[in-house]
Amino acid sequence: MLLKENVRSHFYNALKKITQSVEITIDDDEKFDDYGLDSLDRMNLLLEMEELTECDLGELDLNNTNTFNLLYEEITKLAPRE
Amino acid sequence: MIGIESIGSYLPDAIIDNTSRADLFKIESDFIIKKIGFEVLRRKNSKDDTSDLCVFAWNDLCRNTTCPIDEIECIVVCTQNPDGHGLPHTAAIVQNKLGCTNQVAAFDISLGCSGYVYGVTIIQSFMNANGMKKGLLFTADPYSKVLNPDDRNTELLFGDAATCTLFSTTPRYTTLKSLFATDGSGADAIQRKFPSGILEMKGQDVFMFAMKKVPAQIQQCLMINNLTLDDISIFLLHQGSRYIVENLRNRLSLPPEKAPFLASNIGNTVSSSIPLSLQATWEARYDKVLLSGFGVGLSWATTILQQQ
Repeated sequence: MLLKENVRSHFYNALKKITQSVEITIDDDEKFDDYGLDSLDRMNLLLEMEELTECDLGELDLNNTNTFNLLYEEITKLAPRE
Repeated sequence: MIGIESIGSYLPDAIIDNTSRADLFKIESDFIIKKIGFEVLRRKNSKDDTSDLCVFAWNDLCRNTTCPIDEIECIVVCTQNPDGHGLPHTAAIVQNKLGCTNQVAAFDISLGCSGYVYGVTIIQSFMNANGMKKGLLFTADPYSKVLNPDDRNTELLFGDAATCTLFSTTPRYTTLKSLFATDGSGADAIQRKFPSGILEMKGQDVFMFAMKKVPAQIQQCLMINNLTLDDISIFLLHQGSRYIVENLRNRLSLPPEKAPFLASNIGNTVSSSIPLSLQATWEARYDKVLLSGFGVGLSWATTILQQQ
């Protein structure tokens, strides 16, 4: 079961690892590339989210799924939302 | 026992300055240096074919190793960009260009980035089975033949090179147990499209595959050889990009010096990537060297070299 706040927590942990930052300030509707994530960072983000949520996200196109809200929507299509 | 005695290589003189192309591909030069990692790519002379690159690598081997050509009993060429259309096999053309005797087994193996690890086991086994004493494993896969110069996914990555590894009964290194794996469902991750023949790569698929499969295979290879990460002197990973090497290193919790990125002035040279790294670290005389190649196929393979 994937509560939004749980997925957001996974997302922030993934970003901390990828950006090697202690604090994450990205908004739910902020585009990943506006936040400074390049194409390789976004691939890594997908991988980290896959491992944290145990959802197969390999088919996601991160050019279109490029905010947390959009990413969360895609993840919940693959798992039920509470 | 047959093993690796010596390595020669060929890097074309012609280079492309990758960072100067950042504007052309609408990316930051920092991205090229810090993520892709290849500041310079090598490009073969248009007049040289794959077999010629093999000969150049043999010439380099001969600068450091005494090996009369008529003592060579086996020639294996690892390539997926052979001379012409691949018929006849490039190894036969190399046999002729080197001036070997006719009493030579010569064949090609069609593998990409996993090709050197496969090739080491193949040539050792073949030579052991047939009582051979000296053989050559070539890697030569000039992707410049099949790249689309407008495709940033590939044009910024691949470089041309060739290597020649001498296998003999007086080796520096022999192999411990190796592991091989294949997933053909990922065939379209790296392929030459029909009918254009141009290389296309799905970077996301390749990255996800490498991160998911390679660390697990490395751990398993260590386990079947009763070794740990700490027992390995150095990890020579396929130099797919700086980002891939660094992320694999992180996933294995290795310090940078144990899994180095060595290809910034070379490019991703496919099956030549690992032997070039092995040659670059040859003088260090590492006791145990883990090699891991992964890529087109999808195919991935890991072995451990033990110094004799």
